[in-house]
Amino acid sequence: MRRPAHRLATVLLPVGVLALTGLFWEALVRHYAIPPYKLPAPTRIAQALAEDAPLLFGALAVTLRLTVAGFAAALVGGVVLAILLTRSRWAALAFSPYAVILQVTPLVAIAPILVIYAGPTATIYLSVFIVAFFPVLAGAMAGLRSADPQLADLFALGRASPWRRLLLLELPSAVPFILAGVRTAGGLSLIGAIVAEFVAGSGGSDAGLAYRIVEASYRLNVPRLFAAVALICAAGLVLYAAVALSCAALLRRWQPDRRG
Amino acid sequence: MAPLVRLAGVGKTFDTGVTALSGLDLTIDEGEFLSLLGPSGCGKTTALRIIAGLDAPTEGAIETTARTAGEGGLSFVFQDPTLMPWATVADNVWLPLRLAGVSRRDAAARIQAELARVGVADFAKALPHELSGGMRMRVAIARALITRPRLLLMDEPFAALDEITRFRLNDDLRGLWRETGCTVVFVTHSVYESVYLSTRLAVMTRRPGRILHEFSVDLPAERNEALRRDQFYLDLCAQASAALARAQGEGVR
Ligand SMILES: Nc1ncnc2c1ncn2[C@@H]1O[C@H](COP(=O)(O)OP(=O)(O)OP(=O)(O)O)[C@@H](O)[C@H]1O
Ligand SMILES: [Mg+2]
Repeated sequence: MRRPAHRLATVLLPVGVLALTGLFWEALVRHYAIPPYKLPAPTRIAQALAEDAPLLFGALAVTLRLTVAGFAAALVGGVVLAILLTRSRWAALAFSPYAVILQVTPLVAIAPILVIYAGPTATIYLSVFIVAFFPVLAGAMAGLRSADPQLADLFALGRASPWRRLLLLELPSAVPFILAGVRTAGGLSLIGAIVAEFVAGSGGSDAGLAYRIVEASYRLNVPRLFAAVALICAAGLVLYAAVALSCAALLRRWQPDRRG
Repeated sequence: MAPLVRLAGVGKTFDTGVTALSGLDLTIDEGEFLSLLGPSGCGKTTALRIIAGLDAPTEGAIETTARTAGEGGLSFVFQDPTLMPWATVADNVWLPLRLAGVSRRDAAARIQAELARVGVADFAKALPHELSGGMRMRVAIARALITRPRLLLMDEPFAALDEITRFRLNDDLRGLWRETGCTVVFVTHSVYESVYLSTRLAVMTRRPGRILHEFSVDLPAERNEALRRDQFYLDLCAQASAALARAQGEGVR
């Protein structure tokens, strides 16, 4: 009897608190008559979102397109490189400095270099790729090596070719590890895109959301600034939920044995 | 007739410096059910792996004609069921045939027959985590039997199961062995289990393992629960226990 009530509360409580925060914000702004260029009320932000919809949603589409493209490329690239590197200990060793260098160097520091050689749009795409690539690569490397050694013995007894071993044993064993990497990468890729746009974003028709944020802040268009941030926030939530839900759906098959 | 497997002076020292086996002589004849009995850590698993060709001996020699891949060769049942968690029961059983190049469609009837033989026919589409431990072990046995092996190597397959399930699987395994006519090498800790199942026992010394004592189990081919209270059976068990107790003291040479 407590379960359904409990489940309802897990939804209602955070939503309720969120709504209360909004109401309080709205009331505060109205009571003290705070001008919108100092702090816009939620209704004012919603109004800005509606008025600037073509501009903001267009920018969101640009950012999301690059995010998804970079993320997808990172997914494929990370898994493929992990397969290559796990074929040979020497290959993994040879590649290890790049992995470490690219991982410890903050993206904001690399982006200006990328702009010089790749141009603004490709820089954003590459930045997403770089941040999303390593979690996938690391997950896939660990996963490809995680195959049950006794299952590997069965494949040896059956004289399985390396190719079949990869396809039927190593890749399926790696799936939960790869998906863990993908979840991390999903969260990082939008951040990567936004950070790169701050550094490399350009105006015009292919301006992304971060560019609109910078622009709005220069022009002191505070309601639009808030609207753009709210939009990024919503997009991040949707992206995260989409990745998490598809991972969970895929993982249902990979449940470990209940015991032993 | 030449024996199916002959181990002569087999020794195994791992890279870590641990010597698991030393001077192991053992002959396995076609069609017998041989139990390997020995103290924990005496090298039973190592011996099975050497017979299977999964490990190479560092000393001595092994001759066998059972190591052909695919059908009619050699199958291994591990202590854990070791199923692929992402694959259905039917796909798990298909694996050895799949590796031998048999398509799913051609294997379908044999998969179903093998699942029926071990008593899990209704679970072909289930995933391993949906089964009990005993059922999972049955699936592992079906997977081992589907290639109609000449030699079946089993490494304490029932150690993790409760006694009732183990007794039932013992009877089923005896039935399968008589039905298929394959040769079984069965590793166990349990004296009662080994005598109940086998035509011959080999008791190993503690590490580094070698064969301390061998004796044949002259019990009727038809065995059932009543045998577990039979005086001759219990005498054999006492003999084997005594040999095992001596084995615990041996080995320090
Ligand atoms: N791959 C390995 N590398 C190093 N040492 C090993 C390896 N495999 C086994 N050993 C060692 O060899 C010895 C014998 O191991 P083995 O697993 O064959 O014993 P066992 O008789 O099967 O034991 P148990 O009854 O506990 O299953 C042990 O001391 C073990 O630590
Ligand atoms: Mg063992």
